[in-house]
Amino acid sequence: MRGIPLFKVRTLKNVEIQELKAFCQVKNIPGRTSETKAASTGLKYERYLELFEAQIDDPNASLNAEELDAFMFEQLCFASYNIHFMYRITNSFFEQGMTEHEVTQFLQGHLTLKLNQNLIDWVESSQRIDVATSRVEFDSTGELSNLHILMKIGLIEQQHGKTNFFCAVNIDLKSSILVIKLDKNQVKDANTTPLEVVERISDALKGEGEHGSLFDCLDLNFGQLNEHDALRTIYNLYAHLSQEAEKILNQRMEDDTVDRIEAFLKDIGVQNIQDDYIEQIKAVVYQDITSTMDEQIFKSGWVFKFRFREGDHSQASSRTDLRQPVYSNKAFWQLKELIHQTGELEEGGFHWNLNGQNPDGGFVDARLESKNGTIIVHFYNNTKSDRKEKEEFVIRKVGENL
Amino acid sequence: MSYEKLVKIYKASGCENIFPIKYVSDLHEYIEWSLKRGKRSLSPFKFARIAELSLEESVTFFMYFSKEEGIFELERFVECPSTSCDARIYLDDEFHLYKQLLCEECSEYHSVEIISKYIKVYFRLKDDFTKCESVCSKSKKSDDPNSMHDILRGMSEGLKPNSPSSLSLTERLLEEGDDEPVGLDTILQINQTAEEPILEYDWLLSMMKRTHS
Repeated sequence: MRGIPLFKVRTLKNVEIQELKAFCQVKNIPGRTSETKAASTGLKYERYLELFEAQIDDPNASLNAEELDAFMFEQLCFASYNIHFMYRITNSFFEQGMTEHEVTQFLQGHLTLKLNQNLIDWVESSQRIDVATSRVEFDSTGELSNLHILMKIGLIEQQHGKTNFFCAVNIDLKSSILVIKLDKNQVKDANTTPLEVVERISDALKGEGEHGSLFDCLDLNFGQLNEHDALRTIYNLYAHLSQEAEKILNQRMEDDTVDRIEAFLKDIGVQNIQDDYIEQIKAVVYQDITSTMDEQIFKSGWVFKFRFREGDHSQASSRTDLRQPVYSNKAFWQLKELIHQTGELEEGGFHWNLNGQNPDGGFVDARLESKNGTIIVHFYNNTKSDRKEKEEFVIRKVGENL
Repeated sequence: MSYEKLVKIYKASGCENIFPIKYVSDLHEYIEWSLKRGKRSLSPFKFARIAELSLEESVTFFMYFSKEEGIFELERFVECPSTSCDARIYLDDEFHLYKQLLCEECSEYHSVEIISKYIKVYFRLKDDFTKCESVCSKSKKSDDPNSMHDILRGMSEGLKPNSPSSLSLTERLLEEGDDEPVGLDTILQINQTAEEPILEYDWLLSMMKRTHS
């Protein structure tokens, strides 16, 4: 017998029951249906915890400590968040040339980071910021690419009872971007706001304040993004997708369309035919073609939402209900040129195909917004599976365009 | 979308016991007209005016064409109740099994019990029918949906120029509200009061049980 219990049920409540069910199925854990029946979902979590404890206790079981830890880490560090705040890293402990060994040694030496601590061995403390574990990733050349830190930052009352309030941080050194991840609902249930939480965590990460001692060894400095940089980044991501779409739509139009439009305008008596008139009518044709087109045509993906600031005091936006291409909306075509001229966008909703050439290679739906000196990324619920890969994709995209 | 296909459904669904066959040709014209305009959702409100039926009769008629082998799928949604969210939550066929639904835009959960009173429905033509139409449609690519000239040119001959009601049909065509959804409660009520429920989808029967209790 281990004697020591696993992590607490209030940590497990951060994982959706469907995920637990699916995980037990994949690992073929006996008793996964019969022993997890309960009067309420809250009690169901207790049953699952007991099931896991029994498995870990049994050396011959279908599930071992590493597998359970891997699952919990994926859930707690990636899948359970829906709002990500991105900042640009300006300084860190890491220097080019540090080997994998040197990095690991360094981080292991700072016990507050709990490098590679297995989640099932995590003993909670009552500190306001309580590190659960941290993990490192190296690229193919052995250089440090990511440092992930998972921390508990509170205890809240939620739907299924007392639940641990978590925050995960992804320090991406390849893109020089730091991401602070939260669950909006947990923030609300904690009677605070996302910004307040982000401020608290940021201070600690920079080695300041009450909990600065946890992380000051990392020598981290990161700052608010310049507003124009953020707006331009979102614009760049938007432009890449929309220009690809325009090219495809242009190919679909018949060669003599412009001539026919001119002839039509002459025919109905328009005296002074301007390019702009022809563009407006072409836009109508584009709208029509898009509405009948198969989304498969857009290899890289598409834009499903955009919000654009016109001058100091007004905004325009357009989006589709079900995250389909926005190109069949009139507003898109009317604002397109204006957006290209300013080269800045407040908010964009992007459907990206992870494999640019193959629409069946998975996708990510994300909404990016420039606000309060950061780019906030909102992931949609359908993006829960393979969330780690999708998060990395978005970080890379932002890093490339920042 | 052939007239014959509609007649087949008209007979198989039991519609022929309630409505005279004249309405099937009204429906056929309305469908042709809508598809030419790229409109996949048909409005029972508009159909009521075209066919001179009451709204309730019109919805009932549409329901007969919404069974498994019918032409309509019932697209359900509810406006997200969160005060700062303007998104719609679209409901799948299992929504009635959950206690709460998630709005993907604002990440808030809402009780199914409470939102069930606010569910709206579009009668949406099934995919197989619209694909055929875009291939065999006679409209030219350069037809401008905003051009009155093109609309009038593309209009079917059979539509009456003047309905007995005080406003003419041409004006009706220009009216927006083509995509007006129907409240789910209207559909539930019709299903309830019919001798036998017209539609038997799980979610619908589940909703009926709730409102009845």
